[in-house]
Amino acid sequence: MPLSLRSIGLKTLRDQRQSLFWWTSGTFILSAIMIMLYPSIDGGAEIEALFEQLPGPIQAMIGEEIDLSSAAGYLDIRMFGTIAPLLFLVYAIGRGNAAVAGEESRGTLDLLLAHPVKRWRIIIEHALAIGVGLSVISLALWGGLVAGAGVVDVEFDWSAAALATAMSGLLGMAYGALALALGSQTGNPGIAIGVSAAAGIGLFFLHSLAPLVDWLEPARVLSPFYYAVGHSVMLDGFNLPYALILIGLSIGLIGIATIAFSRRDIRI
Amino acid sequence: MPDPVLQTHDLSKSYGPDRGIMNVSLRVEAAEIFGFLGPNGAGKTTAIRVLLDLIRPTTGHAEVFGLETVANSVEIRQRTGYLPGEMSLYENMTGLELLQYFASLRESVDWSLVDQMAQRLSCDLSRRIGALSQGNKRKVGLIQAFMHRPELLILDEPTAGLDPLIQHEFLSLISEASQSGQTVFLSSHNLTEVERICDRVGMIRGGRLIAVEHIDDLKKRAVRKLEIQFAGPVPTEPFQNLTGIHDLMIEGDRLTCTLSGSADAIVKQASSYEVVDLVSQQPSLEEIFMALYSDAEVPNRA
Repeated sequence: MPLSLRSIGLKTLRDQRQSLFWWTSGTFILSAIMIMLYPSIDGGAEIEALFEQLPGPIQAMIGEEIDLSSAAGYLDIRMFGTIAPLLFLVYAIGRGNAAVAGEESRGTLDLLLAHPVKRWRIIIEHALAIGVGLSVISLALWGGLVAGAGVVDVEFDWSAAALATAMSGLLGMAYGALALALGSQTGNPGIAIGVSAAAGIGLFFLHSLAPLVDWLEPARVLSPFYYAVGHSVMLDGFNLPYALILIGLSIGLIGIATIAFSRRDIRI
Repeated sequence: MPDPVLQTHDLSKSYGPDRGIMNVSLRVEAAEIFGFLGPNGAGKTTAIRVLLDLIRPTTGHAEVFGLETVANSVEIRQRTGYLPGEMSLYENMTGLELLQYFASLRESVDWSLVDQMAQRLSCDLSRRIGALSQGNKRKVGLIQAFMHRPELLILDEPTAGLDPLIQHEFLSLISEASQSGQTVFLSSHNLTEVERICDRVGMIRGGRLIAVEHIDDLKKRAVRKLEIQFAGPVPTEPFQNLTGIHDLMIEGDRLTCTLSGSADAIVKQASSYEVVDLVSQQPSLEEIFMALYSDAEVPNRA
């Protein structure tokens, strides 16, 4: 029997072998291009000057501070501040939804659950599959940066870039777990995707706008973006407690998903 | 009495008014074929999905192999094969891949049985499920339900969508399963098929189990309409007081009556006259049920 059919998690990865191939190659190329463009804007004092002229809120949305004088600063803002989290969120929310809500709405969940598997096991295996998928894309993103940097001879700290990628990956995982939990509770793909995406956009803006609004400032810590991208790994180093907060958030949401899924009726 | 394979106690599942099942109590014995009969929407699928713990009862409870369904669902499902009524399979897999995947979730699968069933049902397992017709998808689902030789087979409308030849083959598969000691619980709205293979039937209407009967008993108690057309007018007297004859009516050359039990007496009597035509109407199971239980049901409602 093929290995890829030996468990729910492996079968889940098998199902997305094509899409994961495109995700991986697309991410690799995008990330290589991004770093290869850096030399042409390196030392771009003009861009920095332009940025200074932008109104505060716009600056805040792009990134709190901008430092294009180094590749690290460029990557921090362009890659790890926006693009990487966005990529990971889109991927993980899609997979988190497909796990339960997607299968349930297609009607395939009924027969799967008629087999001798505990419901929590289905959730855990899907969560692991999301983790593996995110790891593969993360590796492609980092690999693209390293490869692209090699081509145009740009230097940056590879290990810091790896850790920054990992932080974005952890943020993605938390949103995947959110979509999984919503799907496990409701079985409704519209809710699983819609609410997760809304939470993604809402909390991103909470994170970027809070510093500008006095009464909102303390609420900043409620946004997972605060931990994943608010602290620059490229410029200020890796922050372990923040990584642990993101991991804890994922574990908590996966726990909620298993409980919600185990308690409810499955729709036909 | 030995322990039943499947038993429900006042099982109810409500989804709002007029939906679900109400106080269903039934037991299914080992190695029997039990037919769960009723029109679409009567609650057959709801009852089946409670047995597999896909949905939880509102009140009452069910036991399979003596195990309570909510607490022991994994063990129950290990020993049960299930064919859903409205079945969706993974379209991007071939039939064989699907069976391999489901086999990996179980303890043991008899692959020689898979080959044998695929041959008997003429089912091509190498094709992608998405490319199969409804009937062929159904065959993959059937093999999936049988492949681990489960002690209990729960089949929701098993022959729906199968062509008559395959339907016949499949009904023999069910009979063979029961002969080898497997218990079969199947739902159907097809009376002929239930009559053909089931040992006992439970009739469900509007979420309530109206009656459970042995097929043989039902047939014995079955009342037929009999109509005899004679060449000329016949007298009434010779036909009166024959055993099993009720509602006798003779209008000139035409005799009508209802008949329970053997037709021997009246046929012998009729043979003294010239018989042009003889029509006996076998009522459907549903008519039998209605004749036997429609009256009984009324006081319950009051």
